[in-house]
Amino acid sequence: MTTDIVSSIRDELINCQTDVVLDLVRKGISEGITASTIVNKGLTAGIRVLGDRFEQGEAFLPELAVAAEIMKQSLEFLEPHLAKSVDEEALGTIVIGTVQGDIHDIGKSIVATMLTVAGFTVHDLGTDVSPEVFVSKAKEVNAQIIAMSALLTTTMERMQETVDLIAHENLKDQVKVMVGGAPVSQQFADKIGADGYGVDFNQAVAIAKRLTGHTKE
Amino acid sequence: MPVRPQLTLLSEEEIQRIHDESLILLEEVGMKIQSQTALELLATAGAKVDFEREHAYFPKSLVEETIHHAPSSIILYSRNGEPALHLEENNIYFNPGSAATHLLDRHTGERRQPKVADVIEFAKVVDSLPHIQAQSTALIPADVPASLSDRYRLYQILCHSTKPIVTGTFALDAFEDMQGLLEAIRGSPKKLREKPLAIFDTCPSAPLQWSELTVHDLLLGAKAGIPIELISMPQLGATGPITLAGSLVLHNAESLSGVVLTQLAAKGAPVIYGGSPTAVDMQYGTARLGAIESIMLTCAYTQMAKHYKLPTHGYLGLSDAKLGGDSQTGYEAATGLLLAAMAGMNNVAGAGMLCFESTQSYEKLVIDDIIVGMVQRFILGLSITEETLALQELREVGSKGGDFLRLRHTLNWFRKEHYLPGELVDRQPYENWLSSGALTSGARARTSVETIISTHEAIPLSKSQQQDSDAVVKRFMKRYNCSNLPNFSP
Repeated sequence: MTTDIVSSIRDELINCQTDVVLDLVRKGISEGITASTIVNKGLTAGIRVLGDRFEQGEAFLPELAVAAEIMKQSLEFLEPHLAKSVDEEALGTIVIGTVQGDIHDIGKSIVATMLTVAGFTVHDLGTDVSPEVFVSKAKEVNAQIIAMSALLTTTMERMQETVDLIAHENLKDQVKVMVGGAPVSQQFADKIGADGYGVDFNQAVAIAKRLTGHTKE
Repeated sequence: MPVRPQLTLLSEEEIQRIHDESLILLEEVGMKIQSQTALELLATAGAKVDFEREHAYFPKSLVEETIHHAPSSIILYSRNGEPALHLEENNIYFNPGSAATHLLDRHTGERRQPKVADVIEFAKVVDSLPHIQAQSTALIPADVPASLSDRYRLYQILCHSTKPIVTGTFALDAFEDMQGLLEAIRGSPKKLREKPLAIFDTCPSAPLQWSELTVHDLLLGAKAGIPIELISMPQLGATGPITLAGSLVLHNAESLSGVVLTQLAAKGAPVIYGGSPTAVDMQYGTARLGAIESIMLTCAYTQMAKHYKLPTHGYLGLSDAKLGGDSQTGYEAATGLLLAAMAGMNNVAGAGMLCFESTQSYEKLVIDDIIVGMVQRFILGLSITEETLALQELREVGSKGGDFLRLRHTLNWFRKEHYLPGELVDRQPYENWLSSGALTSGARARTSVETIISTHEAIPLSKSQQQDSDAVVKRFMKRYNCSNLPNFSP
């Protein structure tokens, strides 16, 4: 039954059972359940529960990381079945990556996971991402935020280039920029004109919510 | 000879297993190395190199033959040319953790960015401490242009202390400037090579990568005979396997690759097998230096390094707490320092350091000095000789009654057998403690720091050393269009 498959997807995601979830997703589609139901009532519902457990100190980063990976693989499979329009229940769309010339990605990946868990649609571009790629992807998916990470003092200058490119393409009102990484500071973020800066992933969700107008009181 | 307390975490079979797996990793998975020079050295030596992907695969035989060229002993000399650190066997020396971006202000308690004035003051305290044998460029001054901070802090420490220094660079052009400063002190490159004054840290990026800057420094140091300290630092569950054994293999592989590179650059180059692996907290993502697993893994790789007969280093004696006199600070630091000594780690970095290697604390520094005093006493072991057995004294007091306090034997031996820690360690009866202000560890530490700062005099450089090192500073200031720097008045 529909409810059984969808709630199983939610439960098995909470249990980090990658293969089981992917099988259920495929089964759900073949039985005519809509992709958006699978995403909203199955995958996202499961991720939210995990997110709550994480806040309580009952679930940890490895569970979130595996769940985010399950989410990513499921979404890849579901892409042709999903309507092009943005998931209404998502808090917003974010494009994230480590800047050009930089290969460090742990912090960035954890931030991507936290944002996904919090309810954002996240497109993780990986590492060594040029300003052009950040901006073109943001345009392609109608992102509200570009999030950039750098771990080297030499590569963080690239963040300025991305901010400049956004202004150059007249996207400054649609796309906000948030930055992070060990050498980055509030001072640097202000200097380059970024809209948000966080010292580590623990601030990422709050910043993203503020930048998309979702701040809780 | 007293038995030296020793820590053993790996059996002989396990050491061999870790060694074998490291070599398999280096041969079959290899390392990414962002340096054409290094790749060429490896290719010439028989490694399989993909220049385009900047990737090298190390044949087992290359690793096993090459690592034996590295010396088992490295001597660091003080600024005045006296031998100071004998990095070999189980000799242990301590220095404050390097490159903290923040300092706990000892007046206000605020965690703030340091200034050059703090670099100087901190170096002064380190210079005075009896159990800390080396300096490090412990603080990154924020009141100088970022591009000059690595080299300028070295200059200031050279001016204000005679102890050898552990340091590192943040930029490709820094090594030569810093080498210039060291040569200015010694008088010539040859004299610097004969009497090393500083060690340069180079860290591979886990997993299995050497970045441009770190290989650059490694090659320059090897060629100049300046000791290079390899600091592999997998973060367990993030940049290395979550399991200790897995990250030990990774650590060992990265470290061996570094040893190979130094020896290919210059056979016999002084190189230290070091590290800073950490457990990652899976709630906050923080890299915990104070976690017991970080401490264990550090001690385990030290055992591997001793198997290769290489001088050793590690980051132990740190805490992730936020206050210098805090209980967590005490237990994390003490555990690390004691185990470092038992592991026979030659160069123990970390005194004073808090909060995930980000912050220095004066209070913690002087307290760590005391802990090191305890640890150094422990390492001496129990001396069992005719005299220490005290049979004569036992017979006398046992048959005639009385006490041991008035015996000559007690007077002769009390300073030799017992570590006398001074005011920092509270030894008062309760009422005395209460009436003298009921002071906490932190408060006593602060008093101690104030005393040191107001009384300790650093020995200045000689006229020619001052002139020559000032000239180096002026040259890099000019290159960077910098017209003045704090506390620089040549």
